[in-house]
Amino acid sequence: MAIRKVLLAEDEEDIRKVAQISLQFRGGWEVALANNGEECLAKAASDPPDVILLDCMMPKLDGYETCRRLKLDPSLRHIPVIFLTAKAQETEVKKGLSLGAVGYLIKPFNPMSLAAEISQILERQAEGNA
Amino acid sequence: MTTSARSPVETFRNPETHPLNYAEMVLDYSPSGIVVTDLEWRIRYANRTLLRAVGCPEENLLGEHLLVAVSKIPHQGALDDLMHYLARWTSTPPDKLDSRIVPVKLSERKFVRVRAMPFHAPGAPAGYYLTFTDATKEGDVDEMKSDFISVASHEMRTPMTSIKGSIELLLGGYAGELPAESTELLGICLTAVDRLIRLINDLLDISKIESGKMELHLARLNVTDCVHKSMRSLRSLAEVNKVTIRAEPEERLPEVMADRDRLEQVITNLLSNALKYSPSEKDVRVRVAAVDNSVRVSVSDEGPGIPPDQLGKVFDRFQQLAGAKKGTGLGLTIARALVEQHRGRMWVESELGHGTSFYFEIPAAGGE
Repeated sequence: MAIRKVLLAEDEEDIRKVAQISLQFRGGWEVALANNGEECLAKAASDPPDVILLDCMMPKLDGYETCRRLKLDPSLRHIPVIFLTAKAQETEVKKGLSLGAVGYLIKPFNPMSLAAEISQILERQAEGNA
Repeated sequence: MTTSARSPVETFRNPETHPLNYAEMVLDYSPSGIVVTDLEWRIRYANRTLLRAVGCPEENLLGEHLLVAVSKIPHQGALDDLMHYLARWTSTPPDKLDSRIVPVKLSERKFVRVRAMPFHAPGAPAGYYLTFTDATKEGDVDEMKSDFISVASHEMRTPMTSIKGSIELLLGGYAGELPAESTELLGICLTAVDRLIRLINDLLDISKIESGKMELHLARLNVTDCVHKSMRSLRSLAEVNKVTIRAEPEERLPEVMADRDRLEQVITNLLSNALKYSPSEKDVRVRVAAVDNSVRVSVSDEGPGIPPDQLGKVFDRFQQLAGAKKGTGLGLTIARALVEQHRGRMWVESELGHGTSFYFEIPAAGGE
């Protein structure tokens, strides 16, 4: 699947910026940004991306709940979701995968390989679905 | 000598003039619960403080094995941690005073300090001497410290992630080709940030372990698989140091109940230590063997060895040995604590000039 547009939901401004640059620079993708889960749901609905990156810990609506709601929405449930998470919450994320996410990436991520890792997760998923 | 000339203490001690047994009274009024067992851990003495605390008459305890006695106290899980430490002592008896603060989930008392030591009183059969002291205040302070470390580490990790990411983008050419001087300085920044992130992760692990919040996700697994995975993750470090890691697993090892990530963390820690201290062109050996009802892993290097006076300190926090290579000083503390959380044990043997072996054992999984 060719990615053109990513929606990144992350409440930490600095990390959002680094991830945005990394995805534009290494992936050549268009990056839409959301500060929290609520914004993420709104932006996904108004301009659906090819993939959604979700930070787990966010104010208002955390990543897990956002993922759950995305997967309940018939018009959004097809968009693959990938969690971005701190190492310490790794086991929690494994539980989060049962919410319908296709994978997770550990923070601190390497901005030089973030785009490639996202592509890999999506390819693996496409093969699995084939 | 007339009676009136005696000092009050002598009077007190004299069973003819005073029937009260002074020593026994002191024991009974001690703020700590005291238990003496024989070498088989059968209870031979319990003071009144202890009997009051457990709420049962002396005759129910005397002659009973320590673990059986504790298991008879109605507690609904409140004494699980206590049981765990006592079980460890009964399986690996202390050779000197050993002391732990253990959480107990009773209404008022939240922590107990348990001490155990071998007991060799002249004229009495050898055994063990245990005391149980309320340590709620100490435990609470420890808990606050752990919470503080945990919060502080989380707060530090976020900016660290941005710093690391920005450096990596710059080194990766995002701002165009950099002058060699910039590349060198950014390389130093990156190494330093990586070290800080490792330290933060270690501090978080320690605080979780100490506050009892480390959760293990147990599954049946094969220890040899974990050894191979750890070896793969350290392949490049081994190549740089020109050290070969040789795995020597026994065939048909029993499985263990363990948290895969944490077990790999333990093995990786021991291996990376061995790699750091191993001379180049030498081997680091990893043996995996079935011993009694456990699986034993040993990691041996042919490095300089650890001086006997420092051997007892290798598992202490922030103990870096003289001449230690860069590390956080927490790796072995965490590794041993993780093994202990798996109801196992870890120890070290070393000979100066001949190398060091770290061992750990965790119980084999029962049943099929």
